[in-house]
Amino acid sequence: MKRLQLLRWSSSALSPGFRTGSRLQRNVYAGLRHQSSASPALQAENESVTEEQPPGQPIRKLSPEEQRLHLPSPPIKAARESAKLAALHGRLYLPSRLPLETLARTLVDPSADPNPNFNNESLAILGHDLMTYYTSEHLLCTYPRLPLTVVFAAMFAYVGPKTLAAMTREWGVEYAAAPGGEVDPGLLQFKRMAPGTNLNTDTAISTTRPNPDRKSWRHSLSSRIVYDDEFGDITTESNTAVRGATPDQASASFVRAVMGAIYLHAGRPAAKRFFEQHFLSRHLNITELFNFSQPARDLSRLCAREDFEPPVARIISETGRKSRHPVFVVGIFSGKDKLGEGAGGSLMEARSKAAVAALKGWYLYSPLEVRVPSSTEENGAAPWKPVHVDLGEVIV
Amino acid sequence: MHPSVRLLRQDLSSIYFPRSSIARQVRYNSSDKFSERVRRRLWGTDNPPGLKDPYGGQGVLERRWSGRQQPEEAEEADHDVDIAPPEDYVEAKTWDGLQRIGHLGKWSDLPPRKEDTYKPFLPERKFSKSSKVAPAAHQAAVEISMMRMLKKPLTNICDVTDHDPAILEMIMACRIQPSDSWKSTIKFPDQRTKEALIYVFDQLGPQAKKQKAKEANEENAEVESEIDGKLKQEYNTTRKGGSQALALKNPLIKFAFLKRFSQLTGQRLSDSLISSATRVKHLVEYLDKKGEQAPKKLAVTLAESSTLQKLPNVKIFKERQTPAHKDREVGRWKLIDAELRERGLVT
Repeated sequence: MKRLQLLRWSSSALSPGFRTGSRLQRNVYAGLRHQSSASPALQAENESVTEEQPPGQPIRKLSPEEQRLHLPSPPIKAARESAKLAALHGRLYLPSRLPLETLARTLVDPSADPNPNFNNESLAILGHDLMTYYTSEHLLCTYPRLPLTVVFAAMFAYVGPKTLAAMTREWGVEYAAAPGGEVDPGLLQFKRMAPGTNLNTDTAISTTRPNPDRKSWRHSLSSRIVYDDEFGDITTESNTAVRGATPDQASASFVRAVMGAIYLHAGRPAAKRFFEQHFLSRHLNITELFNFSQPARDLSRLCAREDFEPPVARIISETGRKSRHPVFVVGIFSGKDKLGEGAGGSLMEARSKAAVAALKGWYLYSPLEVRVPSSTEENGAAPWKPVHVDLGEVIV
Repeated sequence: MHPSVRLLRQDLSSIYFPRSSIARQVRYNSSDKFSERVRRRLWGTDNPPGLKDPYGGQGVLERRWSGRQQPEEAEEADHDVDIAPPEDYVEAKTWDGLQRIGHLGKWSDLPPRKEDTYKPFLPERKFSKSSKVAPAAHQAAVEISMMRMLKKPLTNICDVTDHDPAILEMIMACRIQPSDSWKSTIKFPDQRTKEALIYVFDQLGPQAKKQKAKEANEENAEVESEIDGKLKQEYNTTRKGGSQALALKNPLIKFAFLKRFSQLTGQRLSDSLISSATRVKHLVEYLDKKGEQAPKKLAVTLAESSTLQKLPNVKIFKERQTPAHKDREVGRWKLIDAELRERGLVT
């Protein structure tokens, strides 16, 4: 496989002054750009940036403060002056190859600065893809038998927008009241929504899903896998540049952009380390994500599918049957094997608890040595051996 | 009937007046007739001896009560007499021109008096450099020595805050022979200086003492004029800077010297320094040291700190940060400004 030239890629996220390109290139583009953090290739496409000022108007000299007030987001040079940004860089233990300028760019939401050369949209897309990829491979390889609903819920819990917003708060990133050139680049900048804006008016992105306008129709789980996003939700698109963004949306895009920036500047191992340290290290109790409506029936179907003997519930022990608070301990057996055990105030409750325990024991199986596909990307890694992934949950 | 209600029904006088005094009054009033008759019959005369009232007359409360009632009655009598206003009496419609009773206004309205002006003993200027502290110590030593020589109260010199430049020059030209007792410590450069200084220092203090000092001066001057040559010789042998070796053992001299020294330098001397200083040089050294270690502003110290400047997550501002700066930093300022302009509150 051909090695990726990450350094060349990452130079596109930086301004000419901080690029690692040749001296000639630097000189050519330094004259053109003062505020951009875009690549030379993008520069050629977006000539409109330099042509914004009509030639006929008299040029009034503005003070540096006034110039900053007219910018939609802080200029590149402000990144080095901000103590907040440096503190955030140090607090997150980010690699030194990730410059402060790019970190400042990750804090600019598309709603604050619609120019793609300055906002974090492109970095967020890259970071989002990386995060969802790493999370899904981790979930599938660690718990190969998880039902899809639980996988969706776990994905949402690991890298969903609400989690990312909480992480932003935990990282100590504060929100700017309004975006602008004079704002400290260490603050998360986004255009806030006007009060009373309806959040449910996002238009669905056109997919190949048949009858997309029929919102009341039930979306089956299989169709969600095919048509919807990684959390099983309908992919929507909101015009944030006009309407503004919620703090949660802006925070989510910031965290994703940080991930993308790390990948771009410091490479894949650093990005993976960052993901493990900040995302996988968060404790998620997957056993609580299950929601069984009829566990006993599901268990019998599962046993039938797996060619086990049909499950039988037996009382293991009981106390106070005639009292106000009896306790029954029921075990579910398949032949001589006990699949699960549960205790409850009634026989039915104990039986269903035992069935739930048996189902969770099945679904939450985890191999002893978990290896994910992305681990083969490292140099000198052992070749990939396909892992066991189950057929899926029981469909009744 | 409830006990409290029953209480209300009773005669109020029985509640609010002590029972004993009422009983006594009743007895007293009745005794005019009955007891007097009994007394007359017992003694057999119309004017029996002894007290008319066998109970001793009015009680304490009754006497006080009757005393209180009498002036009221007198006042009532006064009111009855109608006071006619004088013929040129004009009733005032406003308070202008009426006699004002009480304080004649606020303190700030009154013209300043001598006590109202405050003049600090210590001047505002402060000497802390050694180039100025050592001459001040020398000047104070010469002055105290002069006062001591003229047998005047030593602290009188503090009445003079500034000398004439010529006099100051003469004082600085004098030399000090270090001695513990401060006797004959001062060495004049010549006879003329000595006479001039004695004349000047003689003017200080009350008049009566001045005369005596003058006489003493004249005597001294006669003696000294004879040995003018010796004077110069002595002056030349005395080393410069001798004032710093002077001892501060005598409490009177020490107090006078410290007072004058602190007045000249403008420095307040701490108690610990005063108690520990045994020679003049201790004071001079202390002020020299203090001048070197003058406290800097924290902001200046921080701005000069190279370690802080190297830290990227520390920012040192040149000016004081106010809430307006904070507003500008988070981007709130332009919203506030726009809103104020929209409402016409800011143009």
